[in-house]
Amino acid sequence: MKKSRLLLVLTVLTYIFLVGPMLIMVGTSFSSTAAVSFPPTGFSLQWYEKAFTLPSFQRGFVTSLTVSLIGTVLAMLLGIPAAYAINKYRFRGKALVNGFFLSPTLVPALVLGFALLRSFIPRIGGSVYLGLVVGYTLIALPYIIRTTGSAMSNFDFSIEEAARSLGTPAVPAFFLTVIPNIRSGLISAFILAFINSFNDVSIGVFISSPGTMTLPTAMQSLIIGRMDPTIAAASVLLMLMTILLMTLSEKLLGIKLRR
Amino acid sequence: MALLELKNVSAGYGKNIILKDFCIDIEEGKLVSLLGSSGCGKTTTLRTMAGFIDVVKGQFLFDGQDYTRTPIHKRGFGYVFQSYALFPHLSVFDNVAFGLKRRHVNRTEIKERVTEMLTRVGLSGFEDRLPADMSGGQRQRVALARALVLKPRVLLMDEPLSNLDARLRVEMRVEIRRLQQEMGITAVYVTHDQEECFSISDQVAIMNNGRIEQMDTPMHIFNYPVNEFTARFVGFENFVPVTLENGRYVSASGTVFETDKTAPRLKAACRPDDLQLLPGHEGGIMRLRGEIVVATFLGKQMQYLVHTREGDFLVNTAAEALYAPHDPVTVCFPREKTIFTLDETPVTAP
Ligand SMILES: Nc1ncnc2c1ncn2[C@@H]1O[C@H](COP(=O)(O)OP(=O)(O)O)[C@@H](O)[C@H]1O
Ligand SMILES: [Mg+2]
Repeated sequence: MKKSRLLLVLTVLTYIFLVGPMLIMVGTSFSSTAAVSFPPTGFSLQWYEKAFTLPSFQRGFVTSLTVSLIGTVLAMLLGIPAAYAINKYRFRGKALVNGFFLSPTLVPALVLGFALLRSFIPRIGGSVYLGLVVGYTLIALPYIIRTTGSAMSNFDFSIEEAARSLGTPAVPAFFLTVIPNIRSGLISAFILAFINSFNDVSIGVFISSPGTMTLPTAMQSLIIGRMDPTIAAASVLLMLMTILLMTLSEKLLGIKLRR
Repeated sequence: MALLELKNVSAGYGKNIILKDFCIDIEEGKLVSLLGSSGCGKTTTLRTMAGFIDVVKGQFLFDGQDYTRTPIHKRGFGYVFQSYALFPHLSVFDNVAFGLKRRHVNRTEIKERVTEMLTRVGLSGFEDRLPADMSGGQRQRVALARALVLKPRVLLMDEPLSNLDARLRVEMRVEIRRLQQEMGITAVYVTHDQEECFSISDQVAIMNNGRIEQMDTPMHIFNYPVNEFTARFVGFENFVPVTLENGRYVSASGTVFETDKTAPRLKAACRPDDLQLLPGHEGGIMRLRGEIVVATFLGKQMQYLVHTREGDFLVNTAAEALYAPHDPVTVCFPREKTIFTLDETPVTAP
């Protein structure tokens, strides 16, 4: 009895810590004054209007959207064959490769990689944009490998061999058997990688120029020095977008699973 | 002439070579089984023929042509997998039509041939089903139809019936034999089930440790196994080492065994069903004195474990319990039921 009461208190506290800042953010985004205060004073949509019309946000959004889309697509092109090789073949160092992609320790390593890339890419003559695309590809890659890999781990590769024995060369056999049977895994890999690269803060910090900035970087540069509820509005919008994509992904998976 | 020929082939997985200097000839129109316990290399042999495994050394000939490096999809062999490996996302019709579509056969002919093939395997009316909605036996029929619709000259089957229940296994093996003969296909059939293998094969290759121990007709293998491994495999359990002394074969305890063989060391062997027991101790050719150790009632038969100076023997007799433990008996090796294999165990110093 006592134990469960303690548990209840802890649960409530946890929720407060998790949900509290979000509530403050949502409240602030509808505030009618520029000062950040809680509980909010008044109600207005002006900060949302500003979030939509601020040129640096608009450009940031387009940049973020395109680099994360391109990055995710490139990561699919690299990650699917990698996941295929990891699942299908036995090779030396397989456990290492697998562990590398399955562990979250990859991300700090990437950030470090980025400090290097930032000076490396301009040196070989690449633009900031190219740097962002490379960075976003790397951010998306583990998600792609992990998600498509787990879809492939349920795939019986003798199905692919059956296609081979029925007269299909290797590449078409892959597209005719593996791909259709991991479709839901591919969709969720794409959405997951996209959400996570779109929301990624670290790369934009390392690679940016006044003209080319990701949305999180644009938001950051706005609040340097002062707090502005526009940030709160933009954050709420990003959160909504993430929730929407997540739900969509689960719905798609649900449909697939019931088939 | 052999249609399929592996000539001194070495193959395996990376550095783990399973088949070493492997040879087999398979004649056109025959159903040849590879029989052996799990892990002896049956699947490896079959996959090497199909092209799924690369030949490291040696040659694979198909109809006299060198197929050693021919890619899988150009061999045109049918392959039936243990797990069926049907395309889960395609209907039964599309599963069977798959190979024909790859060959760009026109639509009307595809429809005709698929329909005909499905009728042949007893699945007409199932065209629109997905594999997930079918029973194991039906799935295996789809897998057969999918391979056979291409009229392959060679059909390779890897334990195709191992996932079915006993009754269905018997039904399906008759079906497989019928289709193979009707269509005049050369087939290689992998199994670890002796009865299944003997009942459908023209020839059986007994495999052990990546080698063929003996290849012959089922009846020959059953009656005349060439070595101890094969003999044990087909149910010979009682072995007596004999050596040639003054023109006669004699066991360690001095019993004389008669055979026309001439190797210096042999092993006489007999199945438990074929050994005979006599009460009391009687001497004579191919008779060993012993004592009953255990009597077990098997239902149709009694099984006795008999201790002799040559070791312990299993003897099955009619069901009446004649002997009790400690009874003195004589174990008789009937001449016509006793085989002699080469004694390959190393000679131990006296
Ligand atoms: N994919 C593989 N990689 C490495 N070794 C394997 C693989 N498949 C089988 N083997 C090994 O090869 C040997 C023969 O296997 P296999 O041909 O499958 O035997 P069988 O079909 O007679 O049961 C076994 O020792 C097995 O461990
Ligand atoms: Mg096997």
